[in-house]
Amino acid sequence: MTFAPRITLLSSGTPSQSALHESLPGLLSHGCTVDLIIRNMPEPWMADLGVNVTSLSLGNEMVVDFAQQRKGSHLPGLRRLAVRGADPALQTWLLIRWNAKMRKKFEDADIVVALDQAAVYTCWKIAQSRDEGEFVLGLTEANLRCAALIDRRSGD
Amino acid sequence: MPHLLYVAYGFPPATKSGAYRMRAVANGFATLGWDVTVLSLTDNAWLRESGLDDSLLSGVHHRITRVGIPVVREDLDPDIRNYSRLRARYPKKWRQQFQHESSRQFPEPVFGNWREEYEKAAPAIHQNRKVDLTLVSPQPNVQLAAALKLCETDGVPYAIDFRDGWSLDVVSGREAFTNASLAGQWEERAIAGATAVWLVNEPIREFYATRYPLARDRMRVVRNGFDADLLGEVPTELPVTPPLHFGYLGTASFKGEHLTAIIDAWRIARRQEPLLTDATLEFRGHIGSGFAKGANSLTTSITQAASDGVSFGGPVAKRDVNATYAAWDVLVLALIGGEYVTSGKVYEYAATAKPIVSVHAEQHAAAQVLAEYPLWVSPKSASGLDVEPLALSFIEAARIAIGTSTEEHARALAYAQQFERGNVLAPAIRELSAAMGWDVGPE
Repeated sequence: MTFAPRITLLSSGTPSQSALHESLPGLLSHGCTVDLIIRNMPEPWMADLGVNVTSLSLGNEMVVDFAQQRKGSHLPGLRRLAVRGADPALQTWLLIRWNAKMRKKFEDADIVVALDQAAVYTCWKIAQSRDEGEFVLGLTEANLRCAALIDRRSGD
Repeated sequence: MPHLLYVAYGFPPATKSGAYRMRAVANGFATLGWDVTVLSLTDNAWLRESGLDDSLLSGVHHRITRVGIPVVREDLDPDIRNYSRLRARYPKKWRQQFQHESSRQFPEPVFGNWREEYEKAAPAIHQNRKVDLTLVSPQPNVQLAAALKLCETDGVPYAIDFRDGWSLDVVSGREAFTNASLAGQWEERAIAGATAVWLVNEPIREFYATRYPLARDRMRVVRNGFDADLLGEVPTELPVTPPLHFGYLGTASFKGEHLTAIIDAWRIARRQEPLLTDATLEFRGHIGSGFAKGANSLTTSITQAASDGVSFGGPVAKRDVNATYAAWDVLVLALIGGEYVTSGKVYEYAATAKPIVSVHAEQHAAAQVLAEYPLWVSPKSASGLDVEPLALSFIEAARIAIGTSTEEHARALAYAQQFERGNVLAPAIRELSAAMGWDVGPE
Protein backbone atom coordinates (compact mmCIF):
# COMPACT_ATOMS: atom_id res chain seq x y z
CA MET A 1 0.00 0.00 0.00
CA THR A 2 1.30 3.43 -0.91
CA PHE A 3 2.18 5.66 1.99
CA ALA A 4 0.47 9.09 1.97
CA PRO A 5 2.21 11.68 4.15
CA ARG A 6 0.43 14.12 6.42
CA ILE A 7 1.63 17.65 5.76
CA THR A 8 1.12 20.77 7.83
CA LEU A 9 1.77 24.15 6.20
CA LEU A 10 2.17 27.24 8.36
CA SER A 11 1.95 30.87 7.28
CA SER A 12 2.48 33.76 9.69
CA GLY A 13 0.25 35.91 7.48
CA THR A 14 -1.56 35.13 4.23
CA PRO A 15 0.29 32.71 1.97
CA SER A 16 0.95 33.42 -1.69
CA GLN A 17 -1.96 32.29 -3.84
CA SER A 18 0.21 31.65 -6.91
CA ALA A 19 2.79 29.64 -4.95
CA LEU A 20 0.06 27.43 -3.45
CA HIS A 21 -1.64 26.97 -6.81
CA GLU A 22 1.67 25.97 -8.32
CA SER A 23 2.86 23.60 -5.60
CA LEU A 24 -0.15 22.08 -3.88
CA PRO A 25 -1.28 19.91 -6.81
CA GLY A 26 2.05 18.08 -6.54
CA LEU A 27 1.43 17.26 -2.89
CA LEU A 28 -2.22 16.37 -3.36
CA SER A 29 -1.48 14.11 -6.32
CA HIS A 30 0.51 11.93 -3.93
CA GLY A 31 -2.61 11.52 -1.81
CA CYS A 32 -1.20 13.67 1.00
CA THR A 33 -3.45 15.08 3.71
CA VAL A 34 -2.63 18.76 3.86
CA ASP A 35 -3.45 21.16 6.69
CA LEU A 36 -2.89 24.84 6.00
CA ILE A 37 -2.67 26.97 9.13
CA ILE A 38 -2.58 30.70 8.62
CA ARG A 39 -2.24 33.68 10.93
CA ASN A 40 -4.68 35.92 9.01
CA MET A 41 -8.30 35.42 8.08
CA PRO A 42 -8.97 32.92 5.28
CA GLU A 43 -9.43 34.34 1.78
CA PRO A 44 -12.25 33.15 -0.53
CA TRP A 45 -9.76 31.61 -2.98
CA MET A 46 -8.54 29.23 -0.28
CA ALA A 47 -11.80 27.29 -0.48
CA ASP A 48 -10.68 25.77 -3.79
CA LEU A 49 -7.27 24.60 -2.65
CA GLY A 50 -8.38 21.13 -1.63
CA VAL A 51 -6.76 21.39 1.81
CA ASN A 52 -8.00 21.96 5.35
CA VAL A 53 -7.58 25.65 6.14
CA THR A 54 -7.47 26.81 9.77
CA SER A 55 -7.00 30.42 10.77
CA LEU A 56 -5.29 31.36 14.00
CA SER A 57 -7.44 34.46 13.99
CA LEU A 58 -10.70 32.59 14.35
CA GLY A 59 -12.22 31.72 17.73
CA ASN A 60 -9.54 29.45 19.04
CA GLU A 61 -8.37 29.24 22.59
CA MET A 62 -5.66 31.79 22.17
CA VAL A 63 -8.02 34.50 21.04
CA VAL A 64 -10.06 33.83 24.17
CA ASP A 65 -6.89 34.05 26.20
CA PHE A 66 -6.09 37.39 24.62
CA ALA A 67 -9.51 38.70 25.62
CA GLN A 68 -9.09 37.45 29.16
CA GLN A 69 -5.72 39.11 29.48
CA ARG A 70 -7.14 42.46 28.66
CA LYS A 71 -9.71 41.96 31.41
CA GLY A 72 -7.03 40.96 33.85
CA SER A 73 -7.04 37.23 33.37
CA HIS A 74 -5.32 34.60 35.44
CA LEU A 75 -2.48 34.38 32.92
CA PRO A 76 0.90 34.82 34.55
CA GLY A 77 2.32 38.28 34.09
CA LEU A 78 5.33 37.12 32.15
CA ARG A 79 3.14 35.35 29.61
CA ARG A 80 0.97 38.43 29.21
CA LEU A 81 4.02 40.57 28.58
CA ALA A 82 5.40 38.07 26.11
CA VAL A 83 2.20 38.00 24.10
CA ARG A 84 1.66 41.76 24.07
CA GLY A 85 5.15 42.57 22.90
CA ALA A 86 5.53 39.65 20.54
CA ASP A 87 6.73 40.04 16.97
CA PRO A 88 4.97 37.96 14.26
CA ALA A 89 7.34 35.00 14.68
CA LEU A 90 6.86 34.75 18.43
CA GLN A 91 3.18 35.51 18.30
CA THR A 92 2.65 32.69 15.80
CA TRP A 93 4.53 30.32 18.07
CA LEU A 94 2.55 31.31 21.16
CA LEU A 95 -0.72 30.88 19.30
CA ILE A 96 0.29 27.33 18.43
CA ARG A 97 1.91 26.53 21.75
CA TRP A 98 -1.16 27.35 23.81
CA ASN A 99 -3.59 25.60 21.50
CA ALA A 100 -3.38 21.83 22.01
CA LYS A 101 -5.60 21.00 19.06
CA MET A 102 -3.53 23.11 16.74
CA ARG A 103 -0.27 21.83 18.14
CA LYS A 104 -1.34 18.29 17.42
CA LYS A 105 -1.48 19.03 13.69
CA PHE A 106 2.23 19.74 13.91
CA GLU A 107 3.03 16.82 16.16
CA ASP A 108 1.28 14.32 13.90
CA ALA A 109 2.62 15.65 10.60
CA ASP A 110 5.23 13.80 8.56
CA ILE A 111 6.33 17.05 6.99
CA VAL A 112 5.97 20.48 8.54
CA VAL A 113 6.41 23.40 6.15
CA ALA A 114 7.06 27.03 7.03
CA LEU A 115 5.73 29.18 4.21
CA ASP A 116 7.55 32.33 5.29
CA GLN A 117 10.39 33.46 7.52
CA ALA A 118 8.21 34.38 10.49
CA ALA A 119 6.69 30.88 10.48
CA VAL A 120 10.12 29.28 10.82
CA TYR A 121 10.43 29.80 14.55
CA THR A 122 7.29 27.83 15.32
CA CYS A 123 8.42 24.95 13.11
CA TRP A 124 11.87 25.05 14.65
CA LYS A 125 10.45 24.98 18.19
CA ILE A 126 8.33 21.95 17.39
CA ALA A 127 11.26 20.26 15.66
CA GLN A 128 13.23 20.60 18.90
CA SER A 129 10.70 18.46 20.71
CA ARG A 130 10.31 15.80 18.02
CA ASP A 131 12.84 13.24 16.90
CA GLU A 132 10.86 12.36 13.81
CA GLY A 133 9.30 14.35 11.02
CA GLU A 134 10.73 16.69 8.46
CA PHE A 135 10.71 20.45 8.95
CA VAL A 136 11.33 22.58 5.91
CA LEU A 137 11.05 26.11 4.60
CA GLY A 138 9.14 26.53 1.35
CA LEU A 139 6.90 24.49 -0.89
CA THR A 140 9.59 23.51 -3.39
CA GLU A 141 11.43 21.62 -0.69
CA ALA A 142 8.15 20.23 0.66
CA ASN A 143 7.45 18.62 -2.70
CA LEU A 144 10.94 17.12 -2.88
CA ARG A 145 10.71 15.73 0.65
CA CYS A 146 7.26 14.38 0.05
CA ALA A 147 8.33 12.42 -3.02
CA ALA A 148 11.43 11.11 -1.23
CA LEU A 149 9.43 10.12 1.84
CA ILE A 150 6.89 8.20 -0.22
CA ASP A 151 9.70 6.39 -2.01
CA ARG A 152 11.32 5.47 1.28
CA ARG A 153 8.22 4.46 3.20
CA SER A 154 6.51 2.65 0.35
CA GLY A 155 9.54 0.44 0.09
CA ASP A 156 9.43 -0.46 3.81
CA MET B 1 42.69 20.04 -28.54
CA PRO B 2 43.01 23.07 -26.27
CA HIS B 3 41.19 22.87 -22.98
CA LEU B 4 39.06 25.71 -21.62
CA LEU B 5 38.08 25.84 -17.98
CA TYR B 6 34.90 27.89 -17.93
CA VAL B 7 34.00 29.02 -14.42
CA ALA B 8 30.33 29.75 -14.92
CA TYR B 9 27.98 29.84 -11.95
CA GLY B 10 24.51 29.59 -13.45
CA PHE B 11 25.40 27.39 -16.43
CA PRO B 12 22.45 25.28 -17.66
CA PRO B 13 20.40 23.54 -16.49
CA ALA B 14 20.31 26.29 -13.84
CA THR B 15 17.59 28.79 -14.62
CA LYS B 16 19.74 31.83 -13.92
CA SER B 17 19.40 34.86 -16.16
CA GLY B 18 22.94 34.48 -17.54
CA ALA B 19 22.52 30.79 -18.42
CA TYR B 20 21.93 31.38 -22.14
CA ARG B 21 24.97 33.57 -22.57
CA MET B 22 27.08 30.98 -20.75
CA ARG B 23 25.76 28.18 -22.89
CA ALA B 24 26.47 30.16 -26.06
CA VAL B 25 29.98 31.10 -24.92
CA ALA B 26 30.84 27.48 -24.09
CA ASN B 27 29.32 26.31 -27.39
CA GLY B 28 31.29 28.97 -29.25
CA PHE B 29 34.59 27.66 -27.91
CA ALA B 30 33.57 24.04 -28.46
CA THR B 31 32.66 24.78 -32.06
CA LEU B 32 36.16 26.18 -32.61
CA GLY B 33 37.59 22.89 -31.39
CA TRP B 34 38.12 23.55 -27.69
CA ASP B 35 37.26 20.97 -25.08
CA VAL B 36 35.37 22.83 -22.39
CA THR B 37 35.05 21.99 -18.71
CA VAL B 38 32.35 24.05 -17.07
CA LEU B 39 32.64 24.61 -13.35
CA SER B 40 29.26 25.41 -11.78
CA LEU B 41 27.25 24.05 -8.86
CA THR B 42 25.72 20.58 -8.68
CA ASP B 43 22.22 20.12 -10.08
CA ASN B 44 20.95 19.47 -6.55
CA ALA B 45 22.25 22.83 -5.42
CA TRP B 46 20.45 24.54 -8.30
CA LEU B 47 17.26 22.73 -7.48
CA ARG B 48 17.23 24.62 -4.20
CA GLU B 49 18.46 27.92 -5.61
CA SER B 50 16.98 29.21 -8.87
CA GLY B 51 15.57 25.89 -10.05
CA LEU B 52 16.41 23.64 -13.01
CA ASP B 53 15.30 23.50 -16.61
CA ASP B 54 16.67 20.36 -18.24
CA SER B 55 15.51 21.54 -21.64
CA LEU B 56 18.40 24.04 -21.54
CA LEU B 57 20.87 21.16 -21.76
CA SER B 58 19.61 20.00 -25.13
CA GLY B 59 21.75 22.47 -27.08
CA VAL B 60 24.96 22.01 -25.09
CA HIS B 61 27.85 20.94 -27.36
CA HIS B 62 29.21 17.41 -26.88
CA ARG B 63 32.71 18.76 -26.17
CA ILE B 64 31.42 20.39 -23.01
CA THR B 65 31.71 18.63 -19.65
CA ARG B 66 30.02 19.92 -16.53
CA VAL B 67 31.64 19.70 -13.12
CA GLY B 68 29.66 20.61 -10.01
CA ILE B 69 31.53 22.28 -7.18
CA PRO B 70 30.44 20.95 -3.76
CA VAL B 71 29.00 24.16 -2.36
CA VAL B 72 25.45 25.21 -1.60
CA ARG B 73 23.83 28.49 -0.69
CA GLU B 74 23.82 28.10 3.08
CA ASP B 75 21.45 31.04 3.36
CA LEU B 76 18.91 29.12 1.25
CA ASP B 77 19.09 25.89 3.27
CA PRO B 78 15.47 24.78 3.53
CA ASP B 79 16.02 22.22 6.33
CA ILE B 80 14.82 23.87 9.51
CA ARG B 81 16.39 21.13 11.61
CA ASN B 82 19.79 22.50 10.57
CA TYR B 83 19.01 25.95 11.91
CA SER B 84 20.48 27.43 15.05
CA ARG B 85 18.16 29.19 17.46
CA LEU B 86 19.53 32.52 16.22
CA ARG B 87 18.63 31.67 12.64
CA ALA B 88 15.15 30.43 13.53
CA ARG B 89 14.25 33.25 15.86
CA TYR B 90 16.17 36.22 14.45
CA PRO B 91 16.79 35.51 10.75
CA LYS B 92 17.98 39.04 9.98
CA LYS B 93 20.60 38.97 12.72
CA TRP B 94 21.69 35.51 11.59
CA ARG B 95 22.03 36.73 8.02
CA GLN B 96 24.12 39.71 9.07
CA GLN B 97 26.42 37.44 11.03
CA PHE B 98 26.60 34.91 8.19
CA GLN B 99 27.42 37.56 5.61
CA HIS B 100 30.06 39.08 7.86
CA GLU B 101 31.73 35.69 8.33
CA SER B 102 31.45 34.88 4.64
CA SER B 103 33.00 38.20 3.60
CA ARG B 104 36.08 37.51 5.67
CA GLN B 105 37.23 34.92 3.16
CA PHE B 106 36.39 36.93 0.05
CA PRO B 107 34.79 40.39 -0.04
CA GLU B 108 31.38 39.22 -1.13
CA PRO B 109 28.49 38.52 1.22
CA VAL B 110 26.75 35.14 0.86
CA PHE B 111 29.31 33.68 -1.58
CA GLY B 112 32.62 34.70 0.01
CA ASN B 113 33.01 31.46 1.94
CA TRP B 114 33.14 29.48 -1.32
CA ARG B 115 36.62 30.84 -2.08
CA GLU B 116 38.45 27.82 -0.72
CA GLU B 117 36.38 25.37 -2.78
CA TYR B 118 36.94 27.34 -5.97
CA GLU B 119 40.66 27.60 -5.26
CA LYS B 120 40.78 23.83 -4.81
CA ALA B 121 38.57 22.93 -7.77
CA ALA B 122 40.45 24.77 -10.52
CA PRO B 123 43.90 23.21 -9.82
CA ALA B 124 42.25 19.79 -9.45
CA ILE B 125 40.74 20.07 -12.93
CA HIS B 126 44.10 21.28 -14.29
CA GLN B 127 45.86 18.34 -12.67
CA ASN B 128 43.44 15.95 -14.29
CA ARG B 129 43.84 17.57 -17.68
CA LYS B 130 46.00 20.59 -18.50
CA VAL B 131 43.96 23.78 -18.78
CA ASP B 132 45.07 26.20 -21.53
CA LEU B 133 42.76 29.06 -20.67
CA THR B 134 40.40 29.90 -17.83
CA LEU B 135 37.38 32.01 -18.63
CA VAL B 136 35.44 33.34 -15.65
CA SER B 137 31.91 34.60 -15.73
CA PRO B 138 31.68 36.45 -12.40
CA GLN B 139 28.61 37.10 -10.30
CA PRO B 140 29.38 35.82 -7.89
CA ASN B 141 32.80 37.37 -8.10
CA VAL B 142 34.29 34.79 -5.76
CA GLN B 143 34.73 32.72 -8.92
CA LEU B 144 37.61 35.02 -9.83
CA ALA B 145 39.55 33.27 -7.07
CA ALA B 146 39.61 30.08 -9.18
CA ALA B 147 41.23 31.81 -12.15
CA LEU B 148 43.67 33.79 -10.05
CA LYS B 149 44.75 30.70 -8.14
CA LEU B 150 45.33 28.66 -11.29
CA CYS B 151 47.27 31.53 -12.85
CA GLU B 152 49.34 31.94 -9.71
CA THR B 153 50.16 28.24 -9.19
CA ASP B 154 50.40 26.99 -12.79
CA GLY B 155 50.65 30.10 -14.93
CA VAL B 156 47.35 29.40 -16.73
CA PRO B 157 46.16 32.58 -18.49
CA TYR B 158 42.62 33.75 -17.88
CA ALA B 159 39.97 36.03 -19.29
CA ILE B 160 36.94 37.55 -17.62
CA ASP B 161 33.46 37.74 -19.11
CA PHE B 162 32.62 40.46 -16.63
CA ARG B 163 29.27 41.33 -18.20
CA ASP B 164 27.99 44.03 -15.80
CA GLY B 165 31.27 44.33 -13.90
CA TRP B 166 31.72 44.52 -10.16
CA SER B 167 32.89 47.94 -9.02
CA LEU B 168 30.05 49.60 -10.91
CA ASP B 169 26.57 49.50 -9.44
CA VAL B 170 24.80 49.29 -12.79
CA VAL B 171 21.42 50.10 -11.30
CA SER B 172 22.40 53.34 -9.53
CA GLY B 173 25.24 54.13 -11.95
CA ARG B 174 27.59 54.78 -9.04
CA GLU B 175 30.88 53.23 -7.95
CA ALA B 176 30.12 50.19 -5.79
CA PHE B 177 33.42 50.31 -3.88
CA THR B 178 36.72 52.19 -4.00
CA ASN B 179 40.00 50.91 -5.39
CA ALA B 180 41.44 50.89 -1.89
CA SER B 181 38.79 48.55 -0.48
CA LEU B 182 39.38 44.81 -0.29
CA ALA B 183 36.99 44.23 -3.18
CA GLY B 184 38.79 46.98 -5.10
CA GLN B 185 42.12 45.25 -4.56
CA TRP B 186 40.74 41.90 -5.76
CA GLU B 187 39.21 43.48 -8.84
CA GLU B 188 42.37 45.42 -9.70
CA ARG B 189 44.47 42.27 -9.38
CA ALA B 190 42.03 40.28 -11.51
CA ILE B 191 41.91 42.87 -14.29
CA ALA B 192 45.65 43.52 -14.23
CA GLY B 193 46.38 39.87 -15.02
CA ALA B 194 43.53 39.16 -17.43
CA THR B 195 44.18 38.44 -21.10
CA ALA B 196 40.79 39.88 -21.99
CA VAL B 197 37.91 41.56 -20.17
CA TRP B 198 34.46 41.43 -21.75
CA LEU B 199 31.69 43.85 -20.78
CA VAL B 200 28.11 43.97 -22.03
CA ASN B 201 27.83 47.54 -23.24
CA GLU B 202 29.85 50.60 -24.10
CA PRO B 203 29.00 52.68 -20.98
CA ILE B 204 30.24 49.86 -18.73
CA ARG B 205 33.36 49.37 -20.85
CA GLU B 206 34.08 53.09 -20.61
CA PHE B 207 33.65 53.01 -16.82
CA TYR B 208 36.18 50.18 -16.57
CA ALA B 209 38.59 51.71 -19.08
CA THR B 210 38.63 54.90 -17.05
CA ARG B 211 39.11 53.03 -13.80
CA TYR B 212 41.85 50.76 -15.14
CA PRO B 213 43.48 52.71 -18.00
CA LEU B 214 46.39 50.28 -18.34
CA ALA B 215 43.95 47.49 -19.25
CA ARG B 216 41.91 49.63 -21.66
CA ASP B 217 43.15 47.84 -24.80
CA ARG B 218 42.23 44.42 -23.39
CA MET B 219 38.63 45.41 -22.77
CA ARG B 220 35.89 44.94 -25.32
CA VAL B 221 32.14 45.08 -25.51
CA VAL B 222 30.53 41.66 -25.92
CA ARG B 223 26.82 42.31 -26.00
CA ASN B 224 24.07 39.98 -25.00
CA GLY B 225 21.80 38.65 -27.71
CA PHE B 226 18.96 36.27 -28.41
CA ASP B 227 19.30 32.53 -29.02
CA ALA B 228 17.87 31.78 -32.43
CA ASP B 229 17.91 28.02 -31.87
CA LEU B 230 15.93 28.32 -28.66
CA LEU B 231 13.53 31.04 -29.69
CA GLY B 232 12.82 29.96 -33.26
CA GLU B 233 10.61 32.16 -35.41
CA VAL B 234 7.73 33.50 -33.37
CA PRO B 235 4.51 33.28 -35.39
CA THR B 236 2.41 36.41 -35.66
CA GLU B 237 -1.01 36.40 -37.28
CA LEU B 238 -1.67 39.69 -38.99
CA PRO B 239 -3.83 41.65 -38.73
CA VAL B 240 -4.01 41.44 -34.94
CA THR B 241 -7.53 41.73 -33.52
CA PRO B 242 -8.86 42.36 -29.99
CA PRO B 243 -8.86 41.14 -27.30
CA LEU B 244 -5.19 42.05 -27.06
CA HIS B 245 -2.76 40.10 -24.93
CA PHE B 246 0.16 41.94 -23.35
CA GLY B 247 2.97 39.96 -21.76
CA TYR B 248 6.12 40.23 -19.71
CA LEU B 249 8.65 37.41 -19.69
CA GLY B 250 11.77 37.46 -17.57
CA THR B 251 13.26 37.25 -14.12
CA ALA B 252 11.38 39.92 -12.21
CA SER B 253 14.10 41.95 -10.53
CA PHE B 254 12.05 45.12 -10.31
CA LYS B 255 10.60 46.47 -7.12
CA GLY B 256 7.03 46.73 -5.90
CA GLU B 257 6.73 50.41 -6.91
CA HIS B 258 7.66 49.50 -10.46
CA LEU B 259 4.96 46.85 -10.62
CA THR B 260 2.42 49.14 -8.98
CA ALA B 261 3.07 51.78 -11.65
CA ILE B 262 2.58 49.20 -14.39
CA ILE B 263 -0.68 47.93 -12.92
CA ASP B 264 -2.05 51.42 -12.20
CA ALA B 265 -1.21 52.56 -15.73
CA TRP B 266 -2.72 49.39 -17.14
CA ARG B 267 -6.01 50.06 -15.34
CA ILE B 268 -6.17 53.61 -16.69
CA ALA B 269 -5.35 52.46 -20.21
CA ARG B 270 -8.04 49.78 -20.08
CA ARG B 271 -10.61 52.37 -19.03
CA GLN B 272 -9.61 54.93 -21.68
CA GLU B 273 -8.92 52.81 -24.76
CA PRO B 274 -11.71 50.67 -26.26
CA LEU B 275 -9.10 48.42 -27.89
CA LEU B 276 -7.97 47.44 -24.39
CA THR B 277 -11.38 46.75 -22.88
CA ASP B 278 -10.90 43.00 -22.61
CA ALA B 279 -7.13 43.04 -22.88
CA THR B 280 -4.97 40.91 -20.60
CA LEU B 281 -1.54 41.47 -19.10
CA GLU B 282 0.33 38.32 -18.20
CA PHE B 283 3.59 38.07 -16.26
CA ARG B 284 5.71 34.97 -16.81
CA GLY B 285 9.11 34.01 -15.49
CA HIS B 286 10.90 33.68 -12.20
CA ILE B 287 9.86 35.74 -9.23
CA GLY B 288 11.80 35.31 -5.99
CA SER B 289 14.32 32.58 -5.19
CA GLY B 290 14.93 29.92 -2.56
CA PHE B 291 11.90 29.28 -0.36
CA ALA B 292 10.20 32.37 -1.78
CA LYS B 293 10.26 31.09 -5.37
CA GLY B 294 7.05 32.33 -6.98
CA ALA B 295 5.85 33.80 -3.72
CA ASN B 296 6.65 37.38 -2.84
CA SER B 297 4.97 40.78 -2.75
CA LEU B 298 5.11 41.02 -6.55
CA THR B 299 2.99 37.92 -7.06
CA THR B 300 0.58 39.19 -4.42
CA SER B 301 0.17 42.52 -6.27
CA ILE B 302 -0.38 40.68 -9.55
CA THR B 303 -2.97 38.40 -7.99
CA GLN B 304 -4.83 41.39 -6.55
CA ALA B 305 -5.14 42.89 -10.03
CA ALA B 306 -6.83 39.80 -11.48
CA SER B 307 -10.06 41.67 -12.15
CA ASP B 308 -8.13 43.95 -14.53
CA GLY B 309 -6.97 41.04 -16.61
CA VAL B 310 -3.57 40.82 -14.88
CA SER B 311 -2.13 37.41 -14.08
CA PHE B 312 1.06 35.57 -13.19
CA GLY B 313 1.64 32.35 -15.09
CA GLY B 314 4.87 31.19 -13.44
CA PRO B 315 8.16 30.24 -15.09
CA VAL B 316 8.38 29.17 -18.73
CA ALA B 317 10.54 26.23 -19.77
CA LYS B 318 12.80 27.25 -22.62
CA ARG B 319 11.02 24.88 -25.00
CA ASP B 320 7.78 26.82 -24.33
CA VAL B 321 9.20 30.31 -24.84
CA ASN B 322 8.23 30.49 -28.50
CA ALA B 323 4.62 29.53 -27.76
CA THR B 324 4.49 32.01 -24.90
CA TYR B 325 5.55 34.91 -27.11
CA ALA B 326 3.28 33.68 -29.89
CA ALA B 327 0.27 34.02 -27.59
CA TRP B 328 1.00 37.69 -26.90
CA ASP B 329 0.35 40.71 -29.12
CA VAL B 330 2.47 43.27 -27.24
CA LEU B 331 5.55 42.74 -25.07
CA VAL B 332 6.10 44.77 -21.92
CA LEU B 333 9.78 45.52 -21.32
CA ALA B 334 10.00 46.37 -17.61
CA LEU B 335 13.59 46.99 -16.56
CA ILE B 336 15.37 48.50 -13.60
CA GLY B 337 18.35 50.84 -13.75
CA GLY B 338 19.49 53.19 -16.48
CA GLU B 339 22.31 53.78 -18.94
CA TYR B 340 24.42 50.86 -17.70
CA VAL B 341 21.75 48.18 -17.66
CA THR B 342 21.32 46.07 -20.78
CA SER B 343 18.93 43.29 -20.14
CA GLY B 344 19.42 40.16 -22.22
CA LYS B 345 15.66 40.13 -22.60
CA VAL B 346 15.56 43.20 -24.84
CA TYR B 347 17.24 41.27 -27.67
CA GLU B 348 14.83 38.36 -27.40
CA TYR B 349 11.89 40.73 -27.35
CA ALA B 350 13.14 42.40 -30.52
CA ALA B 351 13.58 39.02 -32.22
CA THR B 352 9.84 38.33 -31.85
CA ALA B 353 9.08 41.31 -34.10
CA LYS B 354 6.12 42.19 -31.87
CA PRO B 355 5.37 45.69 -30.59
CA ILE B 356 7.42 46.46 -27.45
CA VAL B 357 6.27 48.92 -24.81
CA SER B 358 9.17 50.11 -22.64
CA VAL B 359 8.66 50.55 -18.91
CA HIS B 360 12.08 51.79 -17.86
CA ALA B 361 14.07 55.01 -17.56
CA GLU B 362 14.39 57.18 -20.64
CA GLN B 363 18.18 57.11 -20.36
CA HIS B 364 18.53 53.35 -20.48
CA ALA B 365 20.90 51.09 -22.38
CA ALA B 366 17.88 49.14 -23.68
CA ALA B 367 16.60 52.34 -25.30
CA GLN B 368 19.75 52.45 -27.43
CA VAL B 369 19.18 48.87 -28.55
CA LEU B 370 15.58 49.62 -29.54
CA ALA B 371 16.09 53.13 -30.94
CA GLU B 372 15.68 51.96 -34.55
CA TYR B 373 13.21 49.14 -33.83
CA PRO B 374 10.12 49.95 -35.91
CA LEU B 375 7.52 48.66 -33.40
CA TRP B 376 8.84 50.31 -30.26
CA VAL B 377 6.93 52.49 -27.81
CA SER B 378 9.61 54.46 -25.99
CA PRO B 379 9.28 55.69 -22.37
CA LYS B 380 7.27 58.87 -22.06
CA SER B 381 8.74 60.12 -18.77
CA ALA B 382 12.26 60.32 -17.34
CA SER B 383 11.76 57.40 -14.96
CA GLY B 384 9.42 55.58 -17.30
CA LEU B 385 7.18 54.98 -14.30
CA ASP B 386 4.91 58.03 -14.30
CA VAL B 387 1.49 56.45 -14.42
CA GLU B 388 -0.38 58.75 -16.85
CA PRO B 389 2.35 58.74 -19.52
CA LEU B 390 2.75 55.00 -19.07
CA ALA B 391 -0.98 54.51 -19.64
CA LEU B 392 -0.56 56.43 -22.92
CA SER B 393 2.27 54.05 -23.81
CA PHE B 394 -0.02 51.05 -23.34
CA ILE B 395 -2.64 52.71 -25.52
CA GLU B 396 -0.10 53.55 -28.22
CA ALA B 397 1.19 49.96 -28.15
CA ALA B 398 -2.35 48.62 -28.56
CA ARG B 399 -2.87 50.80 -31.62
CA ILE B 400 0.48 49.77 -33.10
CA ALA B 401 -0.37 46.11 -32.54
CA ILE B 402 -3.70 46.45 -34.35
CA GLY B 403 -2.19 48.48 -37.17
CA THR B 404 1.01 46.51 -37.81
CA SER B 405 1.43 45.67 -41.49
CA THR B 406 3.26 42.67 -42.91
CA GLU B 407 6.00 45.03 -44.12
CA GLU B 408 6.50 46.56 -40.68
CA HIS B 409 6.65 43.13 -39.12
CA ALA B 410 9.29 42.06 -41.65
CA ARG B 411 11.33 45.20 -40.99
CA ALA B 412 11.25 44.52 -37.23
CA LEU B 413 12.37 40.94 -37.83
CA ALA B 414 15.24 42.04 -40.06
CA TYR B 415 16.35 44.70 -37.59
CA ALA B 416 16.67 42.15 -34.78
CA GLN B 417 18.93 39.76 -36.69
CA GLN B 418 22.02 41.78 -35.72
CA PHE B 419 21.41 40.65 -32.13
CA GLU B 420 21.54 36.89 -32.74
CA ARG B 421 23.80 35.67 -29.95
CA GLY B 422 26.10 33.53 -32.08
CA ASN B 423 26.84 36.52 -34.32
CA VAL B 424 27.44 38.74 -31.30
CA LEU B 425 29.80 36.35 -29.50
CA ALA B 426 31.74 34.86 -32.43
CA PRO B 427 34.23 37.71 -32.99
CA ALA B 428 35.17 37.87 -29.28
CA ILE B 429 35.57 34.09 -28.98
CA ARG B 430 37.65 33.91 -32.16
CA GLU B 431 39.82 36.78 -30.98
CA LEU B 432 40.45 35.14 -27.61
CA SER B 433 41.13 31.75 -29.18
CA ALA B 434 43.61 33.31 -31.59
CA ALA B 435 45.31 35.15 -28.75
CA MET B 436 45.86 31.75 -27.12
CA GLY B 437 47.61 30.56 -30.27
CA TRP B 438 44.76 28.35 -31.50
CA ASP B 439 44.19 28.31 -35.26
CA VAL B 440 40.61 29.51 -35.58
CA GLY B 441 40.48 29.10 -39.36
CA PRO B 442 38.60 31.36 -41.74
CA GLU B 443 35.39 33.09 -40.55
